[in-house]
Amino acid sequence: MKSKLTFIQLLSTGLINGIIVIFLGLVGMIETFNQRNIISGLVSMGSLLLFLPFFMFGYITAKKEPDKTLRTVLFTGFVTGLVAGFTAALLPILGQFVDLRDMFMNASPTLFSILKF
Amino acid sequence: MLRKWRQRITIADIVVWIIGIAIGFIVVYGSIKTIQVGKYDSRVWIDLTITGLALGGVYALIALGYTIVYGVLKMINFAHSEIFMSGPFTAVFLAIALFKNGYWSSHPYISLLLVTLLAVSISSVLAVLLERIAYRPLRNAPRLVPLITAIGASFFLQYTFRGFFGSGLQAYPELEFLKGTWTFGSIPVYKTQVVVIVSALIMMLVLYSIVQLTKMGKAMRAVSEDKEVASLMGINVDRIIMLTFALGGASAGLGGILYILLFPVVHFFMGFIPGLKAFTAAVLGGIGNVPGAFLGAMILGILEAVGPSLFLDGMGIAAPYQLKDAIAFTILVFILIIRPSGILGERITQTKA
Repeated sequence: MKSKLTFIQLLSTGLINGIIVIFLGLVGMIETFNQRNIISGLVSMGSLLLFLPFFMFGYITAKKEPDKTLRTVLFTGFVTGLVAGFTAALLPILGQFVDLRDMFMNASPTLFSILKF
Repeated sequence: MLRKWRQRITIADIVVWIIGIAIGFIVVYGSIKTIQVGKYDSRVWIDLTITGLALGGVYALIALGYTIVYGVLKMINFAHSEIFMSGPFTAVFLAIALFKNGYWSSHPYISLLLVTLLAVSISSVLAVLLERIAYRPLRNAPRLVPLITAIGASFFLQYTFRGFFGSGLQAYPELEFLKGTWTFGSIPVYKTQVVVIVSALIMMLVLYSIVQLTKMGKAMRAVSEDKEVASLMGINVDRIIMLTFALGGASAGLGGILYILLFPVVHFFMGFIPGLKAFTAAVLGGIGNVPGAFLGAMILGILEAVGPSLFLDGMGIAAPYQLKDAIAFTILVFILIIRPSGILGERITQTKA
């Protein structure tokens, strides 16, 4: 089970994914979309928007992977998702130590709670 | 003979020339009447001219970004006004933080330097990202496609920054050492105006030297002439275009900081009007030409500051300063009728255009 994509490629894809999630959060889209439910009490537009980049980048990485076996594709998707998740998690972690709201008006506790589920 | 002239001159040409003559008449008649009335003394005209030069200095720094990107890519980067806004709009938070802890007042020079460095870095990085994400994939697309993308990118950046930092106004703290005036001869000039004019001039000279004297500038000119041939000569075209955007972004970031020295308030929409004016200045001076952009910006700044009082006051028009934008753009139309390639612009052939 070894991906033919380089580690740097997987890392950069995951990083871009994470940055997009942070971007969507700081622009205020995740929090605003979260006010609309798709399935009441279960899935909201906000959580869908949060997961959408993960699905999209997972798909892109899997498509880029020359070795199309299920194990490799799952592995690349897993690594990308892991890096992206870690990057996105940096925002609420940072938010605990620094008051980001002085600068980013949407870096609210509500956003952090959505990101932390 | 008469038939030949008729074939050459179209009705559109005649209409354009009538507009040009009408504008020229208003300018000359208004100026004569204002001078005859003698409402303003020479001191006021000097003050207005210096204000215009300072304003022109800011426009020049933005126009330089437009012009070098156009020079290399033959593309108008309409998102450049947002590159201009991004630097000072982000750096305001550093300025406020420095002000709150007292560093802004105790070390004003270092504070201004830090804020300028941050603004220039943000603008440069954003310009490079914009090129990498939005423009590079469209390098071989028809010319209209990147133009529309640039307009889209402009809106995207505007509303991204509104989302990040809010739609309210943010004020820069005052710098004590830039308060007051310096006297040249017997003319007192605001320190901020002197700083803006000198910085703009230095930046223009630096950019001009980079384009004309350095190896990178030579590569930029080669890419501007023909990308494919430049690539065959061993020039990394992508890298040169990226550096061009970085330079343009840096110039816009510095322009943003000079702008806040004149008007110390920032908001997400602050780039729109100066960006439009700078684009006008770049066209006026001859787009693609670095000294042309500077000259065009200075002319536009002076016209904007002096024009309302000079052209309209004598004709009895009340509050003429409200028409400063109309004057600036009307003069642009007038100059483009007389010289469509701009003041220092080269007349390019149809195939190159």
